[in-house]
Amino acid sequence: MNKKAEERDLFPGALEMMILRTLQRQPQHGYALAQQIKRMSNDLLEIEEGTLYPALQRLLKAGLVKAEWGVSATKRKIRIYSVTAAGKKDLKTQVSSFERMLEGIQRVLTPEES
Amino acid sequence: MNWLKRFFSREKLYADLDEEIAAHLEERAEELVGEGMSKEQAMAKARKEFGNVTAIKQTAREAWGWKWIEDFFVDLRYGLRMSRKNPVLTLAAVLTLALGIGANTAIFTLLYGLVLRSLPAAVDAGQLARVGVASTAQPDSAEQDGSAMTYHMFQAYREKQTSFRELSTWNEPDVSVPDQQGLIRTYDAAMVSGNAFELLGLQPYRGRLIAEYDDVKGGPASGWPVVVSYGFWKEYYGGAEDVIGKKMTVSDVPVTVVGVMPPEFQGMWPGAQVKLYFPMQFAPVAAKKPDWLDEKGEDIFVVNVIGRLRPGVSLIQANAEVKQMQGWLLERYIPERLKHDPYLAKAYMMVGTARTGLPSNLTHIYKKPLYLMQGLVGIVLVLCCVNIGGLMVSRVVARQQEFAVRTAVGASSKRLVVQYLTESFAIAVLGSALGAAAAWYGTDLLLHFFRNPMMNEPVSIHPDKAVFWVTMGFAVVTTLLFGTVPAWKASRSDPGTLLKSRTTMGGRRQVAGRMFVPVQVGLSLVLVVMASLLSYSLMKLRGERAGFDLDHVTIQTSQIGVLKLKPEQRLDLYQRMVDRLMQMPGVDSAAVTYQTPMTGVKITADFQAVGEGANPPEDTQMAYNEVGPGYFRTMKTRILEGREFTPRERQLNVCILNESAAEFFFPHEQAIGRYIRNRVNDDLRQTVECQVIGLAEDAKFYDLRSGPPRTIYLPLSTERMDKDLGNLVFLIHSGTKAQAVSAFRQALSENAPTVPLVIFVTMREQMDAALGSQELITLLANFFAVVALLLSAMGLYGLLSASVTQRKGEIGVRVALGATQGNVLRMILGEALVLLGLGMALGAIGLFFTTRFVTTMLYNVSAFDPATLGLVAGTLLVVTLLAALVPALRAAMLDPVETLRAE
Repeated sequence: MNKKAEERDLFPGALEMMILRTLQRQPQHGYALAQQIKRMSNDLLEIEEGTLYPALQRLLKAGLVKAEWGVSATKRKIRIYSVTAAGKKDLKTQVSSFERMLEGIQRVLTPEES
Repeated sequence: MNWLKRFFSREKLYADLDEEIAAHLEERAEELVGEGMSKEQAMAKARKEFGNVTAIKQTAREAWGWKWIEDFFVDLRYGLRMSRKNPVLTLAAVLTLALGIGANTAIFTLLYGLVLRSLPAAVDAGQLARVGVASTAQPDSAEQDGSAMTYHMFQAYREKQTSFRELSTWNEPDVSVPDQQGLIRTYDAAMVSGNAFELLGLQPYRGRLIAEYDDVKGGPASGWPVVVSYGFWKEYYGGAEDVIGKKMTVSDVPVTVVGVMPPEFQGMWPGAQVKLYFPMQFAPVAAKKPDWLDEKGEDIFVVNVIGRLRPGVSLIQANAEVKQMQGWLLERYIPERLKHDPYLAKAYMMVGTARTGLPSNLTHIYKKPLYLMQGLVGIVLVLCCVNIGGLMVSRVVARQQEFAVRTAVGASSKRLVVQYLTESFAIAVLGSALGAAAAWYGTDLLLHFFRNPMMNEPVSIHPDKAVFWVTMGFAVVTTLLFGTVPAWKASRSDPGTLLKSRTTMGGRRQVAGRMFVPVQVGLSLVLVVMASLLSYSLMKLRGERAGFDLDHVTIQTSQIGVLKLKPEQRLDLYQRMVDRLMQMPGVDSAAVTYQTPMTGVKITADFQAVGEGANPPEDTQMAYNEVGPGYFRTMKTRILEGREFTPRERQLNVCILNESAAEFFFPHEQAIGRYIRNRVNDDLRQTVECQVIGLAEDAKFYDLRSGPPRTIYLPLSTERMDKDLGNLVFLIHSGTKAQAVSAFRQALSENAPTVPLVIFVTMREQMDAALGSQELITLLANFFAVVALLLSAMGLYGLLSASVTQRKGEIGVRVALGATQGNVLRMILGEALVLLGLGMALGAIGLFFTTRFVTTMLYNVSAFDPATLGLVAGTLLVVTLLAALVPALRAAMLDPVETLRAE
């Protein structure tokens, strides 16, 4: 089951990376997070909203994010996620390795100019 | 830890998740309603966007990695439910397992307590090592001794060695302490150098431990201190909090309690019960001996050395170093008078591990038997597992349909295996719990056999954490042993079987679990052969003529040494006691002796005939004893020529030889009237030249196992009264033990009312104690042999019954085609015999590898004794036929019409 969820991602860990980046800008609750990721990717990425939650649980377990119950502006009881110090460090390494990977892929894909 | 904490609060985590997801859906729906959608439509759209809620929740939960634990509990509940459905089978499995695990736990408790347990040193116990003298003259001396030195040798070694960071000394004497009623009791004590406890890293339970400043000549200014063991504190002081500062009189010297030992420290000698700890300098004071710690003190081998190796120094390196030093150490520090002692003549120095403490006599005697017993019960456990495995396979076959259905509805075969193993584990845990509970009490029962009646206190060993973990280990291992095959079988349940008919007419189908029976028979064969060999040799040992009366002699150790008397007066008192005892009703005869036979202790002297050519020195060692008048009459050892000692003979100038000794000194000649002379050794530390005045029949001496040694008897001398507190042992020959006991009480109260009574044992009891391990092993082996036979019989019976049921159709056809009842009977019995034959072959292979372990326990019996093997084979044959008879008869009685109609 786990596998299936990850197949829907671009690659394993991509969803987690996006969550961390989004939360780093601003701690927020699950629903807002889902909407924001959708909006920011211009709906290019077809993400089932639900898949966020297993990813969030994994991040919680790894100690990369923490969650606290709070109340929203609309007086709704919400669970707000924020990135921990470990999460920030992890995101940094992930992003840099992702960029290197992307660069590699691009070099392969770009026709050689010689 | 964190992981576990989260596991137990997982309900909360799951609830949070559920609430969060519900809120998410609600928020989205509200938003959609705001955009003008109806409530139902909005909710449906929100769900659609979200995805499969249940599946996502499941995936999210799995992120925590607890699924297997949760599955485990589901399986466990399921397993217990299935077990309840078949209570007889479950009970049989649990009880069989309880027996196997109980036996293993009980024996392991002893093995661990006596042989394996490390000292509870705070610092790495592996760095602890002992240093001492061993000898090639005694092959097991490195294990048995190898920690004793003289004090001067120790000092010299300590100065020159570089292997050890620190060295400490231990000495284990008895001390006498008056109890609350004023009666004198003796206790095992330990004298330790001031650094001994610090070296072990021990912390006091109360007060303080013996320290460097206690260990000074004449004692510290505040007087001699004593640290009591935890047990002694509870027993003697009732665990009183104000124990520190209490006064006590130890061997007539006032001492002050300064601390209580930690309860986990059970002493330096496994199994022994050291109650009191003193500084080393107290040793000569308590023993009232000349100070052997002194510069000019006597060289006796009473100092046990324990040290902590320097970091990075191995035992091998430490050994190499001591080997280099041993030349001058032994030359300089073995006193002249002992240079020819056969043990010390071949002495060498060694360093051995002290991880488990110092070698004790008890450990030495019981180490091999304990390993053997562990092996025996190990076989029993395997047998139990095989038996349960057989039962379980039959149950899997019965549940084939259930497994097939589950496979058909999509259970993975891995899941089925795990589920089945969990069921097995539930049974294993139940069995272990029951077995461990039984072992808890069983250990005390077993310890009964380990008791030396001449010892002050019984051995004390209790299960602890390590034993608990080992028991758990047994449970896991057994689960795998008996659960794997059935689980594998279950996983292979083919959904197709559902569609097939349950009986088949054609093609003979093998009953599942067939291979278990020969294994059971083989294991039983091994156990039964061992039990028979051991029983046979015990019978032989018991039946041996000992050379004295085992059944009517009561031994009474005396504490007359506590009275302050001159040697002559002491001997007079002993004589008065003996004379008075002889007048008592029921007492035929009484005597005192220095040693009693059958203690297993070897004390030897080194004698030569005077005037003849010297005998080779190796051969002149002989057993020796000092006995009072009437010894031979009391022991019922016949005097063949000459006479016993008289009460007047108190000098070592006369002696009595046994036949073997006389024949050795004076072959084919008259021995009476001739002279023999000794060489001074450790025990007989004076020159003796004596005239032979009597010739006694050969009698066993050390134990029943060894034949009668050449023996010399000397009279009880005034010199003997000076040594060892002058305590002698009374021997009373009487109709019953009770008569001897009451006679002794009476005589003692008349002649020495202040002397405490200690222990009464009969010669037979003492011998049984010496045979303790032999008897215990034999008893256990026999018990388990019977269990093994029963288990195999049950296994065979179960298998054949199942086979007959399954082959009903086939047998019906055979009978219909003209097979007689005899034919059918023979067919089933034949099947049993084939299984038996296979089992015997397996057993023979097993015996080939296992009998070597019992040979050391055997007495005058060959491990491949043909009579025994024949008898065992016969027994197995009878048991097999009995087990097979019922199913065979049932098959023979089958009505062909009935069976065929059923098809």
